Amino acid sequence: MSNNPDPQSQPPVQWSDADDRAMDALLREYFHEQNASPRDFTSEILAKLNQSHRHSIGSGTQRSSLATIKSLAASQKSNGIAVAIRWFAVLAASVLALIAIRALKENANQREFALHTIDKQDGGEPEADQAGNLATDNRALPQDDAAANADGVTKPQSPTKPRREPIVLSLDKQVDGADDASRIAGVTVDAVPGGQPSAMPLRGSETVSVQDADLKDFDRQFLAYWNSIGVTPAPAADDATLANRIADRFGFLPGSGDESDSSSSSGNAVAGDPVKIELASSDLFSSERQSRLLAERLIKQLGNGLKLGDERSEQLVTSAAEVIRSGGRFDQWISDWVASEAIPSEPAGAAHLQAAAMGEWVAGRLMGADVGCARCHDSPIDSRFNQHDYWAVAAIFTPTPMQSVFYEMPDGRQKVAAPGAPRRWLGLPRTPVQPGVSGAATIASRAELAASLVGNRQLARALINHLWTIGFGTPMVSAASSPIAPPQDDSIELALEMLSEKLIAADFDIRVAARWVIQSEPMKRGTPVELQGDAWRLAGESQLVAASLAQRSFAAARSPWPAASQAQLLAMMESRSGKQPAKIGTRDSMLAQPIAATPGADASKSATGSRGDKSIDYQDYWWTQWLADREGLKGGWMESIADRDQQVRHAFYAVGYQNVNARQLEWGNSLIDSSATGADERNEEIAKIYWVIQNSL
Amino acid sequence: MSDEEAEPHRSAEELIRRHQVGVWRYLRMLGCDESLADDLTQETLLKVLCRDDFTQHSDPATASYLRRTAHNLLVSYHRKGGRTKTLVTSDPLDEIWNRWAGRDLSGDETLDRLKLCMESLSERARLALQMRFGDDASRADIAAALDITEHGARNLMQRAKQQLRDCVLGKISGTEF
Repeated sequence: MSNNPDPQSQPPVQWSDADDRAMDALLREYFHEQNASPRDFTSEILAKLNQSHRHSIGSGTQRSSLATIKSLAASQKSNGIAVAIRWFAVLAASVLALIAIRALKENANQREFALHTIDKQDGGEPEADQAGNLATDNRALPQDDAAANADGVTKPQSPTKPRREPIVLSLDKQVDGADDASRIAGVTVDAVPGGQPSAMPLRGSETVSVQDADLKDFDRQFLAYWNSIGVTPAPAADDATLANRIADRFGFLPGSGDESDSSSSSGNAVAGDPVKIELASSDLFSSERQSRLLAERLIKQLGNGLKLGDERSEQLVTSAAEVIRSGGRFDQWISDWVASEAIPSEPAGAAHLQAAAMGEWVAGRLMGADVGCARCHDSPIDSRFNQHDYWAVAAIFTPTPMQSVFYEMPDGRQKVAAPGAPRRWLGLPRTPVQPGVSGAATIASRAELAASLVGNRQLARALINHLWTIGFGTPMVSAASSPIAPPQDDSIELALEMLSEKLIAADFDIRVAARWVIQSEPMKRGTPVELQGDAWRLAGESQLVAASLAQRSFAAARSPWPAASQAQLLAMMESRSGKQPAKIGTRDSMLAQPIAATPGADASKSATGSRGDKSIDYQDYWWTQWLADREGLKGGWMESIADRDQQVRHAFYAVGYQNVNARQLEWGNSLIDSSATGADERNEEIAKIYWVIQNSL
Repeated sequence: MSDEEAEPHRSAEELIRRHQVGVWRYLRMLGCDESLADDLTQETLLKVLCRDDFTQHSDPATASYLRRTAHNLLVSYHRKGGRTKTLVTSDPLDEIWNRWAGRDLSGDETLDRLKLCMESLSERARLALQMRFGDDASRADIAAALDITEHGARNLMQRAKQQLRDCVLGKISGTEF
């Protein structure tokens, strides 16, 4: 490839993102005239409108305007064929629905599998004399009914594109008694190295509720999740790999005796050695040592943001370990912690910031609320979290009780917030005053706030996410503001709900939930085929992207990650993107090219601190990771920020930095390629900065 | 007042036919892929036509209302998908749409102008755009095909797009490119 400057490569003129998008859309349509041009939706919309109109007339809940009815009548006349097709579709759907109802009656003794919300909406089995109507209106139009949501907005779905059926139903169809759930994910037993059969659970026709769910039901949600987002799970890990992983995450080897520790087990359990692990033991986390190891990890998770000293951490670990070992109520222990924790002493002298740190700890860390944005402005992602509420929670923790705090709004004005944690932040309804009258919307004292954590469902969800982070490095359901979170899906939400319910049912005995985490199907997955050994060197970009998604969605284990500094990662990127002469590889290719070191071998060196001069060898591997992760970063909220400085600042926020200084901002801005003018290029620049901050030492 | 505005009350069918293409292109401009634009176009028209208080004052007013509804539906879609993408507020986008499409509700005329303007591009620029938007080629592939650097390829495309934009907007405003 020549490096001669192109004669037309003058600096392009600036224009707005919207102009750029408009031009891109037009060009795509121009070059894809056959398949990227708008279709005629008239008959489809009229058919839906007609059905909607009939439904509203029948239920008496909605009226249509005279103009609409007249226009409908006119359109019906001109669409005789469409009407005939529509009636035929309704008739066919009715027959199918009657068959389905019959099947339901035959299985009347089976338990009903449904989400809470569906339970509430349906209110149980439809009456027999209404079944026909229900079948016609609901089952023939699954798009309209199933996609309805709280906002009254119907999830979009092309009539030409089949809507994904409810997950459980599709699973039932696909497994169909064969009971090898690996088929769902496209993994056969033969494909698993070593012939080890998949540990995935069997699935019969029986369905269960969230309250009665067992580990198999829990695992099924992951299968459905992977199926729905198009992820192929990695082959099952062998025993040695599994042992290493559990020892690495939890510090001990289940089944090897209480005396084994993480250093010995992770160092010795290599492929080929006889390794005995017992995941199904009911004694997991019941010994003094195992409960302490879990407590250490939980305190590290839960105490993040408080700047706990060594002495305080030790106190917390000791008391938490005792609660865990004895099977005590962990929610009560956390409640006591919130009630008694001293206000952080940093930042020095800024009482309102210290209070904010406490407030964010309770709301964000303990309750899992996505409140980070609300520190400076109302969250643009989740309207529940606004700036005033953020500071009202902070005010609860001021050194002087019931003291209000001042905060600065985005426009520079000062505002005062009185103490008051919104009950909705804690997942609690308003306090009932009397039937039909809503009560207080806030909790105004620290003692009341601490007491509200006992038995709190939202706390249970947050605890599960922390346990999951210990086991997998990321929460089961990430916050909406997480830039690289995997796609959300009902199945993964249901899995979180199941495990939360399990914890609540066990009176917050945290061991019960921790056992499920350690025994779950995702824990048993190996690394993606594309990242095993040196396979990544030859893998294409799409394969790497798929492997990255599999890792982020728990369908594959994380591969070893060679440590790097920010400067090293940036040097790698710059050398790859043409800003500097290529330093590595022999060809300027988007794919990784063979060089000396293997990432796995060198990763172990870096883990022991002998990274040194070998770091240059990792550049190809880092590049493959960037290529893979970049897909996950596309379309995130950081791209929507107009101001470049603010983008850089928010990239730091997203990683977890709260106070971004001028040096960091300057550093971030210096990385941006000023010649990147198109929306895609500029977005890639900010994704690059976030990725470097996130992944560097 | 034009003929289009003289007859405010159109049948549902006529209204759909007049506005669906414009809504679809507007959604594409907001970054929707074809499938999502298909879905949301139908949702938008369905939602508006189901409203009791929907009144047709004029075609431009209806078009603007439809675009705002489409924008809101897209925001809801992103929010529910968990991959929240805060979009540019609809007002500047509306302004840009009006600039691009003018009084043409569908945007067909803009596309026709684009076809004419394409002829004014150099062969290399056309090839670069064809590879990028027609074949979804990467910048590296385009650079390799044209024997220039990746930066050169990017600038070439940016300049070509700028040239097209000036040409299209020039034709809309009556000043030739």
